[in-house]
Amino acid sequence: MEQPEIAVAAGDTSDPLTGLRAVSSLRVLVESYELRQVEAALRAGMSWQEVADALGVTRQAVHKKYAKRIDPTIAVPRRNRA
Amino acid sequence: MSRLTDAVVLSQQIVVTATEEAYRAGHAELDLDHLLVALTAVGGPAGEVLRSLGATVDRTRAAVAQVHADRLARAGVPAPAAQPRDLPRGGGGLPWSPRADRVLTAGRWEMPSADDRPILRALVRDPSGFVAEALAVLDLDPDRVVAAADAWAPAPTTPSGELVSPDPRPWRTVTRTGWVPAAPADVWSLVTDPARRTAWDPWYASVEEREDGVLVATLVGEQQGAKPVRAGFERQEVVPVAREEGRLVEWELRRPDRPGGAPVQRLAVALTASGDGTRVDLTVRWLRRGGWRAVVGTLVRPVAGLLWGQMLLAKHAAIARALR
Repeated sequence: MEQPEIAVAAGDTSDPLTGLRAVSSLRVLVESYELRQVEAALRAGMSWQEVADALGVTRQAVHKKYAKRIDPTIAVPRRNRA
Repeated sequence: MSRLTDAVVLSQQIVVTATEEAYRAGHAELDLDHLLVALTAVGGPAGEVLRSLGATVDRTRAAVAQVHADRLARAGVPAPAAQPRDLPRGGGGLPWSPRADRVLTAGRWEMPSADDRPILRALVRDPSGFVAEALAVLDLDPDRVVAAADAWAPAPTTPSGELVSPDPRPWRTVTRTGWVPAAPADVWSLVTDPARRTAWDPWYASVEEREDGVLVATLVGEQQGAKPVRAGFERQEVVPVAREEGRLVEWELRRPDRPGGAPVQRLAVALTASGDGTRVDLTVRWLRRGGWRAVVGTLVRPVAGLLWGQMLLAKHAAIARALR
């Protein structure tokens, strides 16, 4: 499916119940992508600060959300590297 | 075990299993879909009800994935291919969604008994419609599920025989019983395969089989990110002492680096077919030693019993995890 078509269909408001349920599943999907990307970034050696900058949030916010969710085997620096 | 302990163990199993489901699916929090799958995977009444209606672990897992995919498809978004995450050793941690928290709390109020049907009822009633959609994929009507839950009556499985091999010595014994969603033959091949020992025995970092059939195990220590192991305790020999093909296996655990001083200790796994899964009885037993150790042993006995029980529950959880 072409990108513009997706946007039109997901934003279709003629059937709100289907739309709302789709949005809730989309949110699950987006959150799982975010988790996956944060893990990949930390594995690649990026710092919490760099991850936060890319997501457009504060370092504290991204750390609070993901510190316990990420794979515990990822070696994350305790302190933000300068 | 008391009913309260059974109830605590069951709710713990549900939370741990649901968390693992969410982790494996790559989701960022524990939600209703994972709780539904968890109910089918643990040995509680709700699981018996669901499986009797055809909602097995695999089918339920596929159904909840289907609901997400269908919801996205109806809105014109192609569903992405599943990208399961590997579960780290010791499991991963995830927060609960507020509604999963509500459903679990609903179950807990009615729990002094080991009955997870209140959780199932709360799931079926969930206003978001997710669980109802998953049940529809499984060709199940919510009212039928609730009716089956109401009609459920306990039908305990009695063990297939003795839980340990015959030995007249005065053993101290601790047993924990659990249920796993796999056939006895599958559980048997898991627990008797030295190469898969570390998959279900969380004590061991590595296990190798010697030519005489004895397993030489290295305990999980600092290298695996755990607490360091005391000197002389790093290695264990796991010596087979009894084997009834497909039903009972027992090992004696020895510490080759501590000549003479180590107590005699055994671990037994007994299997019984139960519904569409297996009842697993894990028993650890040991011989009392003389001298000052006997006095200390008597004093710490209640605590030791609890700790052994926890150790057996951890092994049971790992067996279930390896077979889900």
